[in-house]
Amino acid sequence: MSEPTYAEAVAELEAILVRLERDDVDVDHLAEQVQRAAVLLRLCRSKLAAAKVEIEAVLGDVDD
Amino acid sequence: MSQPALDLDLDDLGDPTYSVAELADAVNQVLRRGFRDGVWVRGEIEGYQLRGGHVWFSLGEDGDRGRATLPVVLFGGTAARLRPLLVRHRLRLRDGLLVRIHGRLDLYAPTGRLSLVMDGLDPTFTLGQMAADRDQLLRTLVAEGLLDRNRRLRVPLLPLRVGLVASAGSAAWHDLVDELGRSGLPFHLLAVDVRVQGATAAAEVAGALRTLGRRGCDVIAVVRGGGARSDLAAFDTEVVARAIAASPVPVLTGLGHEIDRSVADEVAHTALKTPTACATHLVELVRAAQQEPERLWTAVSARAAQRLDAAERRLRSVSQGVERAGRSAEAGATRRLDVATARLRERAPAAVGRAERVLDVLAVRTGALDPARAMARGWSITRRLDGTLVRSPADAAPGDVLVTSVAGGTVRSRALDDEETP
Repeated sequence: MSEPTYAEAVAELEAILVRLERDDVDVDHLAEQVQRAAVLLRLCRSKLAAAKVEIEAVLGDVDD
Repeated sequence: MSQPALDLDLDDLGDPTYSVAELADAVNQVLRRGFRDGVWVRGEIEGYQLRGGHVWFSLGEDGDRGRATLPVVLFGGTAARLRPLLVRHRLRLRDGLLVRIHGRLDLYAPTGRLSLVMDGLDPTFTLGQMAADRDQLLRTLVAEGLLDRNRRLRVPLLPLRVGLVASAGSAAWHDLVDELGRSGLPFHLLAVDVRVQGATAAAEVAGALRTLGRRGCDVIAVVRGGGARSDLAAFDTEVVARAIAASPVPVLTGLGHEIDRSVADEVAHTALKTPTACATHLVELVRAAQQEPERLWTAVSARAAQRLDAAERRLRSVSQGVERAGRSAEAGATRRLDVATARLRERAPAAVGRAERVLDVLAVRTGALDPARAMARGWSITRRLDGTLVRSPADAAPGDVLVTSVAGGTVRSRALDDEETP
């Protein structure tokens, strides 16, 4: 499975929350879901890990 | 061809003949008399330049007979006098600006050029013209459904890849880049250096928007520093407005003006006042997106903990139920046993008494049958010698020896015949 985008990760987190809010959630799968949520959170955090602003000059191919 | 020698003296009779300088003076006198209080002229500024402390440009107008132009000079002193008026109306003279200016006509002898020496300006004309042009453009954009096309686009959840349209190295550029840098977030800027004022500005800005639209940006920020209302001209042009409307990604503007809204602002997804405000907006969007997974994670872990608690509570309640049921079954059994024991204790003596009584009766009844007791009362048992019982007279033949048991022992006797007497 390829790494989800930030938006996909957030959407999956939301889906996990919705599943956990249903009353019929299976305790056997609880740990599995929480682990997946933790993975997604780490992924989101890493995408926002502090870094310097990069500037790429787009020159030479400017449309007239 | 021979040339008659003419007296150039103006006082001569006949056709007057002027020297060039004299003619220039004469023309200037006529012009002053003809336009006693000077003259108002309207047209579009072109060829604007500042030279030797004075401003030079032409007023132009397209007419039926081609383009008409009039050179204008604005001397340094007059320019200084007019500056407060321009500043108050946030105007700056520049090419392309439609103006109504006042001045006196002057034929400048050294060049033979007629020009207008500017001494006044009507700012309301220019502002009105700009407003009218702007309104017309806005109406066109509305009619074509372009005014809110960019606004309908969704800004991606994490707008980190930012297209930047600005003049490289300008204050506006630094304001935006520095503000993004301070956030510590990993913004990636795709920057296109453009001129934001001057004749080529509109085309450069529009071109940059198209280029960045193809480079996969999340958003594009168009920024410039503060300045005169008329400096925003590029951002009131149709070409820039259309480029923003056609942009496949949301466009933010930070054009550095507090009061005026340009057409670009009207068409943009989000119009911010300054480049810094533009950067702050982007940082806020990312921060909000950053908080979302944290919020969801908190909710997920809280929910999971609640689920575990609920499961544990259920388990505890079931086990308590089982224990309770077990205890109550045991107590029931014990209680039943106790009752039985108590009843036994209570009833056993009566039963024993009853048995004893039965035994007594039996003993009495048994005792009554004892032959010894019958013999004591006088009854006896007679047997023959062979031990057989004599139950009837037929059982003893005359002469038989009979043994009779009585209470005190036995009596031996002999049976007699019926007629025989002992």
